Amino acid sequence: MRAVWAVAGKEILDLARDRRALILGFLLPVLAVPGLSALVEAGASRRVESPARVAVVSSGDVRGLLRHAGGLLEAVTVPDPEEALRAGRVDAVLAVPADLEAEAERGTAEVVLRYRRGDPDGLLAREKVAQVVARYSLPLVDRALRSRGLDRESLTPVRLREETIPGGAGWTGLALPLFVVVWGFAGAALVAADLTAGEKERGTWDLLRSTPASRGSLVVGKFLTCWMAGTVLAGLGAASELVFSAASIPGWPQVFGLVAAAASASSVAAVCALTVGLLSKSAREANQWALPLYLGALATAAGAEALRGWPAAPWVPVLNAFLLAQQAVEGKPQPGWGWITVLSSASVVVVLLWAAARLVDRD
Amino acid sequence: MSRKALHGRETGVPKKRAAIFGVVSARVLRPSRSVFGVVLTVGVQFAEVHKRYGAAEVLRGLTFQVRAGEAVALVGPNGAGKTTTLRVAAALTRPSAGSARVCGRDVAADPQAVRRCVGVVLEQAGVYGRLSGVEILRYFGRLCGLPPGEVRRRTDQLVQWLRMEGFCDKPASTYSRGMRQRLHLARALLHDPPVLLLDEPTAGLDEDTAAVVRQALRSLVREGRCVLWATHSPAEARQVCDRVLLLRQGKIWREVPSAQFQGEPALDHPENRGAIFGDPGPGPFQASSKEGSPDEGCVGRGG
Repeated sequence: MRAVWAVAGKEILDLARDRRALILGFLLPVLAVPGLSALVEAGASRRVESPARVAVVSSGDVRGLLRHAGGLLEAVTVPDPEEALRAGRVDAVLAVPADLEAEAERGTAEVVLRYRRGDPDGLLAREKVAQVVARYSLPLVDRALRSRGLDRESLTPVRLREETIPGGAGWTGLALPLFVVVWGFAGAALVAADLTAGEKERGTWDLLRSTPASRGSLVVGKFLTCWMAGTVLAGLGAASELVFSAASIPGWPQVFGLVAAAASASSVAAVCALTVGLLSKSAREANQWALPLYLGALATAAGAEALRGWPAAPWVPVLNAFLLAQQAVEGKPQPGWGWITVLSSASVVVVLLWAAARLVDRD
Repeated sequence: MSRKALHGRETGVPKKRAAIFGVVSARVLRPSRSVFGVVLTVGVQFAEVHKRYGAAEVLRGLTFQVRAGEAVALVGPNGAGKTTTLRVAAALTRPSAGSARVCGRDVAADPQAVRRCVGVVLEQAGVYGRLSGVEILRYFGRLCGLPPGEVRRRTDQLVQWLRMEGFCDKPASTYSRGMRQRLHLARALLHDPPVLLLDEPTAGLDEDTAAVVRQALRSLVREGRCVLWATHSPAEARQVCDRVLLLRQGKIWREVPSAQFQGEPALDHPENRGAIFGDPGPGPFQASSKEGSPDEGCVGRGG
């Protein structure tokens, strides 16, 4: 056990003196996470709040319709609306019949909206045009109802009144579990590549192997360092996101859930990257091998929502950590799920550490 | 060897530098001829050792032994198998066939025990650049299983003995080649091993420092340690070692006692050098008479 602490202590000291690693390890999660969140949120709100650029095509007078477009649509005049839509110069093209008002009175008016299916701005334009059409239609509907002795109220016998209370995870609920998995993986994998393949490159690996310390203690000492790096990075990323999003202070069950998720994800990342590093001859090779691992973790996180109901989900490492983090952020961590996450990750760690110890003496 | 010799008057080492490794200070390291309660007579024993890396056979039936209190040089050209021999002896690589025993323990069956009794200096060993020399020594001391107090004591003694006081607290990334070699030697001696395996420990050192390292090692041999030293330098082999094993293509081509080797400079003789290192053939810019190149008659016929 003394050799384990000797290796871990030395690696942590070495890491602490590496200024570049410290900058990347501490500043990136602390600054990049809020920065990234701010950029994403700013981008999203800009799209929602700014008016959609719509080319209105009509041979008649559309001023009546556009009177209701205040703040939602910006009518753009372009020589070729179809070409402008394909080129992305407008978000949508709205074809309005020449006698819109008369047709609307008769209840047969039809406006055609064309937009690009995969364009978020086009989808937002659809929502905004629908609002404008609804605003334009409302007085006509009221008039029609009145002529039949009805009013708008009579069409809605049951009304829904909404009341909100503070809570819910919002953007943080989506981003935080992802940050926990991504930073846990990135921190552990980068450090693992340096502590194994990096040592081979620097010519210190054989010195380590020439000592009588057991192979298991060398591997476990290095694993502890990588695990710690991944967990610290994931923890910093999560804390930074919580502070930035001004979320309410999480309770202890939430904190335990987040810590367990971060520790589980980074333990799996650390042991996988360590094993890959021991198989590699250089840090570059180790990082190349770590990339599929990293993408695998991202894919698992991306597919977590779809896999949430899968009966085996609590037993799949990384997936269960992501879902545990999500439960914690949403304020409903399940202790049973947490224990299964920790145990399944620990099983993977034990098996892979056993294999890694056998790789130390590989020629 | 007299005290006078140890202070450089017979070895050609400047007096000031020789004092660095004075034999008196060498006594800080206790002679270790007893391992696992058994008095050693043979430190390293290879019997028909083969080593293959894929299709390449690097060692081809290597058989030799090095006794306690003896220094043996492995001399040979690049690719002769010197480094592989040392790696097998250090239990860093397993022999493909044959038996290699160090301190009576088989390197394949009991590598852990072998590592406990060898100190290794590798040719292209690196250092942990962000740690100081002292921190590196303490780290390896702990990995060797020494108690913390003992690690501190031995580190201090080795730092003093190898005159590392001037730089041992600085980051190892700032060390010169000579400083690194001294650090590696200290690291190899930290657990007081009875067997030292050295792969060109003086390569790249200036002559003064190399002479000092040679002298230090000689004093360790006198203490009863067994030294296996891979070198390219015939002169160094003559100066430090008792016997010389001439390796060629993974086999022992010739075994020469040091004294005899000194009297008969086999490697220095052009004919023997060709036999050991192989005939290099004509130089890259020399025309081969057999090939009859277009340049024939223009190159090397000026005289």
